[in-house]
Amino acid sequence: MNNTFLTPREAQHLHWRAGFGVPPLKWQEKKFDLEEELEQIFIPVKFFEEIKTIPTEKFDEMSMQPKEMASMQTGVAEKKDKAFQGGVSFDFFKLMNNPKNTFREKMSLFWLNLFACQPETPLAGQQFLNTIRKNALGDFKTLLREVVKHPVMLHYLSARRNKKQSPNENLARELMELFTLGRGNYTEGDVKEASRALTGWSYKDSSFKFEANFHDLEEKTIFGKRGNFDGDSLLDLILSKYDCAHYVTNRICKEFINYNISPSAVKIYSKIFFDSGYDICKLMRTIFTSKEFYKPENTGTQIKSPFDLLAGIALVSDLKFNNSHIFLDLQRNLGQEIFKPPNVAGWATGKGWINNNTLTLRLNLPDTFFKKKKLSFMLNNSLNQSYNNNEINNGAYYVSDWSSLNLRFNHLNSLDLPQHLLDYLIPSDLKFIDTFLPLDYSHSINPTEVAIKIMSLPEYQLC
Amino acid sequence: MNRRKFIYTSSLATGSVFIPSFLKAFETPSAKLAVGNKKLVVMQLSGGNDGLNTLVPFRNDLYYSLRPDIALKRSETLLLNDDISLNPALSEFRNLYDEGHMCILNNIGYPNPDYSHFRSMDIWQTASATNTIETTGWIGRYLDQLPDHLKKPHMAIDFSRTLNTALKGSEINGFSIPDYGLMSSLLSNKLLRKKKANFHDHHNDSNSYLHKTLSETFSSADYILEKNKSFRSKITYPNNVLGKDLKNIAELINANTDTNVYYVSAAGFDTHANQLKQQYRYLKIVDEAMDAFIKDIKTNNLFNDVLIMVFSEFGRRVAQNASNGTDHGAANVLFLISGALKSKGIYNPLPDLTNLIDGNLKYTIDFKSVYATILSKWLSTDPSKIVGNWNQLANIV
Repeated sequence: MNNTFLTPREAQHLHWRAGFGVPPLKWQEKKFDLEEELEQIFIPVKFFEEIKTIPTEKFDEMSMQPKEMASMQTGVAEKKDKAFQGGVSFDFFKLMNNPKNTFREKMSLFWLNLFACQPETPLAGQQFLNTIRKNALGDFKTLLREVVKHPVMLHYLSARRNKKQSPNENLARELMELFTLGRGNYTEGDVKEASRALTGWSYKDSSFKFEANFHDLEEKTIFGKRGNFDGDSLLDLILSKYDCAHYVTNRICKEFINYNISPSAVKIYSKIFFDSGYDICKLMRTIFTSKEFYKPENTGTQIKSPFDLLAGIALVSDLKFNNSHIFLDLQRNLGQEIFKPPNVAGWATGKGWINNNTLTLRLNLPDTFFKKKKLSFMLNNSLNQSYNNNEINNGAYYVSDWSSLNLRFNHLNSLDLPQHLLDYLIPSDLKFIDTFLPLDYSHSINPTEVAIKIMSLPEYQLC
Repeated sequence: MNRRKFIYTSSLATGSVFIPSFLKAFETPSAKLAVGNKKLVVMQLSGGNDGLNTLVPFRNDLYYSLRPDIALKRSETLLLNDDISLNPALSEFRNLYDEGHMCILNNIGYPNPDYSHFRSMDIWQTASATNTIETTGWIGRYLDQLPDHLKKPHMAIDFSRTLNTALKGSEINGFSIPDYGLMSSLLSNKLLRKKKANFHDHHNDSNSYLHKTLSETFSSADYILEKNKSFRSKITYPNNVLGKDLKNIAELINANTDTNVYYVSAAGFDTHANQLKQQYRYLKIVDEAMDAFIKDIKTNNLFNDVLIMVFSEFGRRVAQNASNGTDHGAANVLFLISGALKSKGIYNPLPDLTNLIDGNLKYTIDFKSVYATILSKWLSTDPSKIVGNWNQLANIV
């Protein structure tokens, strides 16, 4: 950066990539000081608060001990499960627009996709989420170690089936392919040998446990190095490879800068990440202050994830859900149920978020929330029996409050208002505003009314 | 427009005589195949339906000794022949069998089976190997290779709330219809309808994609709603989600909709405890909905043009567990139902209960061979680019 000031468009870009946009009352149509903005963005580094939706002491029947196989659930257990699952993810969602948390939660959403995993119970989900959140802004070495040794991940990747006598490659393969190195940076032989190093990794209740009886003590050869490696020294070996820093940086750049970022730009960032000893904040600060990040071809290119979209709407309208079932179903219908990624590779982001159904739902959300209409998936309730009909009919499923937006923009006259709101809400230049927004200028229009129209445009899906 | 599409389009426009022969290699092979009016309905039984209590080997002593409390007695079941019978819930399935409209494939599975519902279903939907991850599904890849004029989302329809992975392609996705009411409300949004026309953002691929999806959604939704109006079923369907979904499918088929593939799911088959009652209940739902559906398509003599494939992500452990249920297993039975089957009845031998792996049935036919056969013989498509080179099963359809 030649100077330390950002145009409003650049500031908006920064806040969308590091969070969920700029709150209405903070929006200004003059320059922003980059250092001041970064200082605010990095505030969450100093704070960490566990999510405690499920009080662990009271729910011993929901033991972390994962069942051999998911056991059949009765309708009652299913509903309770759903309420907790929705509850945990909703508490996570609420933190997203708290300035003490925003950047931590934004990074956590990224790590949840890199370390895709399906906890078997809501309590297990809460604990896994907290492990991710706690380490989201620290160093990647600790994050990786805590996540891979987490009982939820060990269960998910069949670590207990990986024994000296009968190795199971699941954990070793995903560790290298999806979490650290990426395809092409290890051999099938490395996977086999790494599985042997990981034998003995197990868990008891909610803690990691090493089962010495199952561990293979013989020599292994991994990445051409010979030694008596165990799981921890395997992680050290992986982290000592530049390929690991490059893989993780590439994943970060694709989400935070552009799906089509040039390999040469990624190299510059990944070298800094590797040299810093995997310091996540150092990498992110480097990105947020680099010329590359602010290039016009990198702005407005990313399709918001469902959580980005919802948190962005909430930042403008103070949206709150009064029913965790509905919040959970909304995640499901938008294609990002926080504890149920589609497979070990996580969610396909970008275009992967979009199909006819999710796009339709997305475009209708602002209007639906504002008018407290029913969402499509609430309509067939008689067949699905998901909700209490009273809850649905009294309209108490979500509330939104658009007063900050009105306060910020209501000084503008009807002719200027649309363009100002467009600049605030949409990160790309829209030149055909009249065709997009045939507004009736004969009566005075209020900011909320115009904002909802703009937020229903496909362009609002971008950030 | 990529190179291949460009050449394909120009060869149509100019006649292929003018295209140098070295360029012909780039033509999409399937562009030459007309898409017929054969319909495929894929029915997914989620949770892992127990094949051994679906198709019962009542002559097998091992079946009874491994399942002392949950094996079905011959007298309770619906006999198909001297050795094999069906779960008592499947009376319509038995009729279909008797009429020669059912082909039963045994021991369908894949190597190194995964016992997680989630991963195993993913393997079935994406047609991937156990240790590779695919982000597109087999039906989605079928859509990808359709010639451009047929490459429309509504060529494959899923009536579930979220688009099934099986219908996700790399260039195009299938169409998901959770509710006709929602589709109508989208169509009433004049603002978006006005905006969708011919929009292309040359600087922003994501934006172009959003507009392309929106535009396709409008045209597919317009098309489907129009078709939906033109036929009303007179058959009574069971009042449950599966009944509603199959009714929607039958109405679209009867309305002569272009759609080639329909995808539908039924849940409740994860029978770890008290299996007999639970499995009966959920198979009954399938059987009753199937009964109504077949009656419906028969009224317009369309049963010969419809193939239904019923599968589950895995079968269950041969031995019962301590809760009168069964745990997650491997190979399983798969049903093909149509008025136009070449192979009728039991296609291949029943599972060998003396030769198990970790207490589970061994697969003898890879499910990808079934997909390849259906794609090739029923949907007239080269399956190699969709599911790979698998042996096709002889004389099925």
